[in-house]
Amino acid sequence: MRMLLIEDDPTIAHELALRWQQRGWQLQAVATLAAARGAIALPGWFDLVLLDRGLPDGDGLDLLAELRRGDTHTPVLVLTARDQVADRVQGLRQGADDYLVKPFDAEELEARVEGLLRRTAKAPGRRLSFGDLHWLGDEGRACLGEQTLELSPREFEVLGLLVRRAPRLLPKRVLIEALAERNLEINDSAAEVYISRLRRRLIGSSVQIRTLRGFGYLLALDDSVPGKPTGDEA
Amino acid sequence: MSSPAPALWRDLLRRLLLPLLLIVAATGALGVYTAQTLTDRTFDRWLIDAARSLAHQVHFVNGQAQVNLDGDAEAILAYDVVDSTYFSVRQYQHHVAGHHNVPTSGQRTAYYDDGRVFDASFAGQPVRVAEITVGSGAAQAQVLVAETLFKRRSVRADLQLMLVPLGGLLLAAAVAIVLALRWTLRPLEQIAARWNERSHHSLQAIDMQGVPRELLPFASALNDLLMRIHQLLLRERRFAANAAHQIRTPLAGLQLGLSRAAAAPDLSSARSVIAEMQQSTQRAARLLQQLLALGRLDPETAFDLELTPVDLVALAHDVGALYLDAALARQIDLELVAPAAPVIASVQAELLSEALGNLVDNALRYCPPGSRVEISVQAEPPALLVADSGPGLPADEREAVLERFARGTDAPGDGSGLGLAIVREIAELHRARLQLEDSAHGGLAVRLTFSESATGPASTTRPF
Repeated sequence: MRMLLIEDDPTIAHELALRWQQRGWQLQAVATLAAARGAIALPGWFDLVLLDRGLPDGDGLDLLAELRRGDTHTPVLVLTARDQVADRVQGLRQGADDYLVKPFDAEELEARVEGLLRRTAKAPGRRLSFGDLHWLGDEGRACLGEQTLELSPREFEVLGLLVRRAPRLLPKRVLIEALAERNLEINDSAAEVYISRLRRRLIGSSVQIRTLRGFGYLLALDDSVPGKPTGDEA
Repeated sequence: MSSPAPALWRDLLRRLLLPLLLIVAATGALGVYTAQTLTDRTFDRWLIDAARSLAHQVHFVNGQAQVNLDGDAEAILAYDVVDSTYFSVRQYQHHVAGHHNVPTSGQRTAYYDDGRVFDASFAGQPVRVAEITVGSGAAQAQVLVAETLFKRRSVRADLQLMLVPLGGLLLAAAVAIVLALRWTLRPLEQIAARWNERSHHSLQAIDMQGVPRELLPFASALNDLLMRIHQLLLRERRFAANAAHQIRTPLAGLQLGLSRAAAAPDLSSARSVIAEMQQSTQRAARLLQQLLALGRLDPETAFDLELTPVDLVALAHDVGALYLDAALARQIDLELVAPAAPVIASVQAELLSEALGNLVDNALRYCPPGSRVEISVQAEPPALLVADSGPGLPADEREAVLERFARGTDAPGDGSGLGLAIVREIAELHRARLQLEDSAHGGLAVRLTFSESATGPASTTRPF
């Protein structure tokens, strides 16, 4: 994994570089927007960008806007001391994939980084697992334990989106937009139809789809059902 | 540098001196013109009189003009110390008597009742010539008298010399104006200098004694401003002291934890202490955030609060989405109930986001796992409601928890007591109604009601 950290505080850069060395994550740290511009010149070189906002030569969000003009895929996690609610909303609006306020817990940061990497995996045909649910993108099928689920192509896509985000929320808007990108035009109520069909197919497994009314859907592990709850990649 | 600041001194000077100069110039020009006309008229009259005297000597014999002029008469006619006078009598374009070749026409011709007068030149000198006609019917003759211009010129010069004192008058008036301006403006400059020096040293009100009446409004405006800045500074100082005190408490907790970790008998108990301290850090960070949010909410904010029409549904969605992770972690269902159509209210989006964020954060913090927190957006009138199924708040404590650093008596340990104070102050800035009521889900509900938006849905905007 190659990551770019745009952060002017040397302590944070140093601590994270040391910490992530053990995980095999390569962290390149730059301290200014100017240096960062050079580093992001090659789209797709970095798997993830960690971006501070208050940099000596400007606001990191400006760089984010520049980046998003040419590269919509590289995940960006904004890491900042700007903690007003409006700042966070604005950061996400500008195309950040996540927003973490300083001071942060290193494990929290790692969990979010992993979530982002899983969500934006470069090869869409990868195999992903959540609980006893396995989503096999390369084979075009999903199974619960050993048993293959009978899914329509659209249900398969929706499930893929849910697994990729799990255990975090899949906003309804993201779901509809993602399906629209694959020329699967659906509206609000159709999305709910697919979700409820999927929910029926998952009955009896450790995985369930929860609806957060007004926001979207997420995969959750139901502890009452025996299974092997692991959030790791297959 | 752009254009220089307008200076009273320069403007006044220009506006007074320019008209004065124009008036004097006009008077001078009029004087010169009058002198010229007056001399012309008087001397022309005399010239015509001379021509008439000569005309008396003209007789007609069988229609032929004859002039009986003896030497004395001619001498009398021509007598003049300064100017030379010439005369001529002509009939039918032919010379009859007097000097030959006296001009019969010229420039600047003036017509009088009994003749005309014009400028010409004779014998190499400029002359003024008067011509009258004598006789009647077929027996007519022209009498011409020409005179050089020396007298006229000297009289005209004398008259024009009388204008010279006018120039002196102009100079005197100009000096008077400049001095008057100086003396009037000097106290003004002195007062400005005094105020300037004073406001560098202290924020105390300036003395109104000796301030000209015209400057009193400025002086009192300046005093008002100084007083407001003074009060603002006092409030900031109080706030900083308060904040420092508040932030010391979690720091003290951290320090205690650190010494406990240092004294821990083994690594695993030290680790557990350190894990606890991570929570303290988060708490201190949150407290700092809230203090800063409050700091931004001073009454001064109300003066430049820019309210724009904002869709509350979009705002509630975006803010709520920020707390989904926290809700999941605490196993609380966070839901949004909103109409499909936008609900527009005139608000300041950043501040309202902060208020809603605090309400949601509070609800998540005080509700046990398994609870439900519902954000709802209502129209007519526009309102935001955060209702939970948590423990609720006794009715007699609801007023008190809106104060800074106040907390419910049964509140768990990690709140700062600032969340609802922030919400209350933001509501006040918006002139929105803040109500704490019983929730339909069994816990507490906080409702923010905005006055009906004056702007129509045409100006619908997303927050930020």
